[in-house]
Amino acid sequence: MKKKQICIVDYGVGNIKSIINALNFFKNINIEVSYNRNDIIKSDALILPGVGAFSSCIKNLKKNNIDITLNEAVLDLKKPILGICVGMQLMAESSEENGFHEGLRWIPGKVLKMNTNKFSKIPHVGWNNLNYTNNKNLFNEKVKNKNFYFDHSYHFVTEKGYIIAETDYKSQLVAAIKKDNIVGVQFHPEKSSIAGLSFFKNFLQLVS
Amino acid sequence: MLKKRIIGTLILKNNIVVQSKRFKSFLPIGKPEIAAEYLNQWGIDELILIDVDATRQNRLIDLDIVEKVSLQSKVPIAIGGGINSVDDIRNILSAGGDKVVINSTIMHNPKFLREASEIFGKQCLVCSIDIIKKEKKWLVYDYLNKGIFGKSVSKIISEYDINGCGELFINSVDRDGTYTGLDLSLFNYLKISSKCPIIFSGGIGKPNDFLEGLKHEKIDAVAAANYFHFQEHSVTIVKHFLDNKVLIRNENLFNYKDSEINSHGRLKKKNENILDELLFKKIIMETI
Repeated sequence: MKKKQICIVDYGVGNIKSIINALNFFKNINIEVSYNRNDIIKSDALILPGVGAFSSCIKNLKKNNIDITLNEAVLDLKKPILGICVGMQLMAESSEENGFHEGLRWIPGKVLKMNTNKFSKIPHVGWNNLNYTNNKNLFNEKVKNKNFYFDHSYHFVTEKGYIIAETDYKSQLVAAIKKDNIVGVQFHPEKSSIAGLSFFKNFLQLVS
Repeated sequence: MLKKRIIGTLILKNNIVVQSKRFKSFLPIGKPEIAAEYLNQWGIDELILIDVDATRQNRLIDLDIVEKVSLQSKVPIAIGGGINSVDDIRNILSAGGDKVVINSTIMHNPKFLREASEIFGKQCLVCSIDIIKKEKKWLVYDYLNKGIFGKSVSKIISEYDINGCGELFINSVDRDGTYTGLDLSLFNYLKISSKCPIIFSGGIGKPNDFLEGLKHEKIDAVAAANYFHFQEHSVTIVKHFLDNKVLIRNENLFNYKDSEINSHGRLKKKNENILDELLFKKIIMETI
């Protein structure tokens, strides 16, 4: 069987090593780390990592025209993509982290600062379970009752129709979103022990 | 609901994990990547790796070690030791660290936190404070000069809060390595109003010490170093003890559900009936 080609989009921020490390667990994929147009276009699925501030992430994406390549791969060629943490937030229309910044505008919604009146201590850091899921492929029985590792101070606010998982942090918080081939998770599957690997497995099964 | 965390601290000297006592005496334990591998298998929630000589020797923690240790960790790992620039943080993150732990650099220059948080986000920054008790007063300890630092604990904490602290990592110097339990009196003495999560450490000697810390409303995580290194499955056994007493993550592939432990965290012998049954029990391997 031909191995699936997975491209981790490298745009100079974040901890890509831990994602590679987690994906190395799967033997039926080839992992490429690149921002090169050819590598992105020829891959079967993409992973958009992100650690750090939204503003520096989006600036780096735009600097090398990676956003244009990603639009082509995701919106025109409909490649499955998984955004992790800030990688998920980049899919929004905008973010208010360190000023106003436009996002990739793939999923309607805004990234807003978490408010201590609504939520508990900020940042939301640690292991939390998903108390609402509505996608049986990504959050199957093996995954949906497990804890995942979160570490963020901003959150994705979007319409109910795009939310596929939520977690309880005094108020309901968006944990995962999906629109067609686009998936984003606020938690870090690469740092969520066995539950995280099971989630990756489910995502990889969506890739044809 | 968010779970309370149990964190394993790996203290490094000459790239070897050591047992530390009151920040003064140190005994070798072993290779950090092996300690990380075991703690992961036993179900730790997070790791902290700190090279305690790095700042004094004016260098950054060895990035090869960071890489080796993070390769073994399926849970987040915070790295500390000699960080004093944005490039240091960038290098640690690209070597595999998920967060950084900073102590003396921000103690002398809290503005550095602001600079770092604008680039990496504050969720990446763990601010470490060593505290020491003198005549019933809690003071900030400066480990480089082996003395008391000029600012008060509450002053330091509010400075960190303003400048972009992600988590506070508070270590009691007096209790470090003594196995006498956490000194929670700090929270009675100090009105800590920090909005960010607090990791408390220093003195863990038995499972009940974790419970007392984690039950405290101000404490989000308890870190222990020495405690975890001298007993097989130490983390799993502690989590077995804590389960149903405080909200934690307890979903390791193996557990001690059918076992009893004594107050020191040692396993008691199972009763004869259970042992007899075990002889014929088929255990199915779990797969991901």
